Amino acid sequence: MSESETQGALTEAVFYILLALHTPLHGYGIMQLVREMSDGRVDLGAGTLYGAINTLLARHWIVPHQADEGSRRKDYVVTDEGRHAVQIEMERLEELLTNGKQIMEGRGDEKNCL
Amino acid sequence: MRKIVYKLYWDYEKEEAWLNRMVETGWALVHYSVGRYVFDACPSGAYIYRIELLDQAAKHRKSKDYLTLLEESGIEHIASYANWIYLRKRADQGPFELYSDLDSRIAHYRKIKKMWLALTLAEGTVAFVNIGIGLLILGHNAMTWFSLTLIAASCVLAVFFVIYLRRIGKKIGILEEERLVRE
Repeated sequence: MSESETQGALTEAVFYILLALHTPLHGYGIMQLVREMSDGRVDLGAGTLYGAINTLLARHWIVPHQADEGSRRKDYVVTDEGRHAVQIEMERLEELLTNGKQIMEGRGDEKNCL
Repeated sequence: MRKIVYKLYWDYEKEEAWLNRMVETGWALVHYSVGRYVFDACPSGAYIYRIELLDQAAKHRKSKDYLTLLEESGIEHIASYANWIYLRKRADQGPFELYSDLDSRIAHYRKIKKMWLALTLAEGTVAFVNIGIGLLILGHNAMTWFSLTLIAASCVLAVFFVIYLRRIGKKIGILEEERLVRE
């Protein structure tokens, strides 16, 4: 995997699509699951989702999944590379959260000190 | 009841806004072909319309997956023209946006800018050819007015194209600035 694929933040859409594809799912299923996971906050636009799916396919972070014969819908599933990207992103998010909590929640004390 | 309106738009966002105003007055687009809009009567505000530029025409096999996705998410494909598609969703099903983040909105604008740039270059070439012909036939009175009219028309058109290109460029710039601080 090249460095460019492991560095930097994932977009919210990409992060949630990769999570949604831990089990094989088609486009509309991804939309519904992401909406559900985020309590309705993340409502992926069809254009945004379709663009992201194509980008992720090109990177091999997801692959088409053999659907039932005759089904006109395409299913996709996350690959090991995709999982790896999510793992790295989670570590990054954890770092942000830890630092954020430390400083933001410690802020009141700092003010008293000053 | 049916109503036909003839109209031409440069700017797909203005066109989209007009279609949505038509819905407010109880008219829903059901067919479109160059400059010709066919509306059927509908309850006021029943639909939300969106216009989108695809990489390929709607008929192309590469557009099929996307059209299936639209259909499943309750979006109706009303009409197509070149690589443009006209879509609508019932307003009672909630908001309807095709692009939910800045990156994808910027990408869509870039696609549109690229298409207009190609059209502008083609149009500019036509304007130059017209000027060239005009110079060649200078003095042949019978043709001069005809040639001048062609030159003026193609130059005016080229100016409109360039103005529209700059407007899209500005929109991309605003979104890119926003993209520096958030997604």
